[in-house]
Amino acid sequence: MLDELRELIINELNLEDVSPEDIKDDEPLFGGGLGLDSIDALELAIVVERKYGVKIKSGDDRNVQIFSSLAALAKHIEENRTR
Amino acid sequence: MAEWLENKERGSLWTMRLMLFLCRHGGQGLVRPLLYPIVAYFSLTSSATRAASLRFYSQVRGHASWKDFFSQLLCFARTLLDGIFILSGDTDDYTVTSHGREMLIEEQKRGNGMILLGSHLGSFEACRILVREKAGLNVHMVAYFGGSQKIRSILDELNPGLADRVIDPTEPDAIFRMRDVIENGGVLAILADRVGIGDKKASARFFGKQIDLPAGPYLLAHVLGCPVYSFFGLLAGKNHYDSYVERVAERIVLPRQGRKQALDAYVQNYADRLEYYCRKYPYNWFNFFDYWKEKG
Repeated sequence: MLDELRELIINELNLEDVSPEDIKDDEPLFGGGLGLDSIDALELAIVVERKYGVKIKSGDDRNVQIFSSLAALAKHIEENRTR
Repeated sequence: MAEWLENKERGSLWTMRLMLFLCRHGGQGLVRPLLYPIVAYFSLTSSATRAASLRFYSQVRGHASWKDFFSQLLCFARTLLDGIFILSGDTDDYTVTSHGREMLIEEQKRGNGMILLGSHLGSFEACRILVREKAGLNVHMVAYFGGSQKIRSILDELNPGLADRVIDPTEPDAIFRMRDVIENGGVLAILADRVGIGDKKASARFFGKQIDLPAGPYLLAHVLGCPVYSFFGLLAGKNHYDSYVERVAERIVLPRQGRKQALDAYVQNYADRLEYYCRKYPYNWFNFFDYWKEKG
């Protein structure tokens, strides 16, 4: 799952200069060293919804936690995926 | 960097409340004549703002004088005051000449959410007149509250429910609330003429010199696959506004290769429209800082 997400992030967010090893399991995905912002987060959320059937809802207190790291996002998807 | 964010609003919350009180209890007849001494005072005492103003009119028209600054401040003060009256529901005294509004209504009928690019040229409140009286458009606005609950409470005092339709982009959930507005077929208004701290930007020529403009609205439209329109609501006479809606793009197309060039092209197109309306309505320019500063 973690490697699948790494690839998804690099491909879908068009990150030419980032290699899979640059995306660490426990480091922040957004607002951190990868230079990703909230629009990237939205783009990723849309891809995640399409691919795994997991919708990131507004007003959900867990959102900050879900996007806090690759591992947290993977865990959320594993627990909620419908496809 | 992002000088406008650091510039504290000169009118404190206290004076805002005083103005509100005078508007409510005194009405237009009492408050309007007060604008002249207030504007005269600010035009004499705000030297940094005056310098930025003169720089702007020199760039735009080749010459500038104190009169330009006074006219600009007066126009600004009038739109602020109009905003208070209009947001309070006092719209009968105002007229609007509207161009292109039907495109928005048509999109909404088809259930399409859309992004509406606003600016600090003119007044967004003029749009609210249209919204309330004619179109029934469901408009949400992206605006900085700076974490201030006080501004929120003043907005709510003016117009209950208004604060709920304002999305502060610094809040963690903001981007998903923006998505919801578009997915629900609403209008998401974003100011497109100032770059905030940390915003992605693109560059364009504006009156012959380079500026940075925010790229975020176009990226967002690209991600959400929604159309983009621009809106200008311009004070054109006593209690009268001219409003213009133009289609920016049915879809924002940003190819993987050459994304930067594509963004620059969209931003340049917007800068050209901004310049066009600046020439037509020069005193509606409400960016009171050195607009070309960052690029020199």
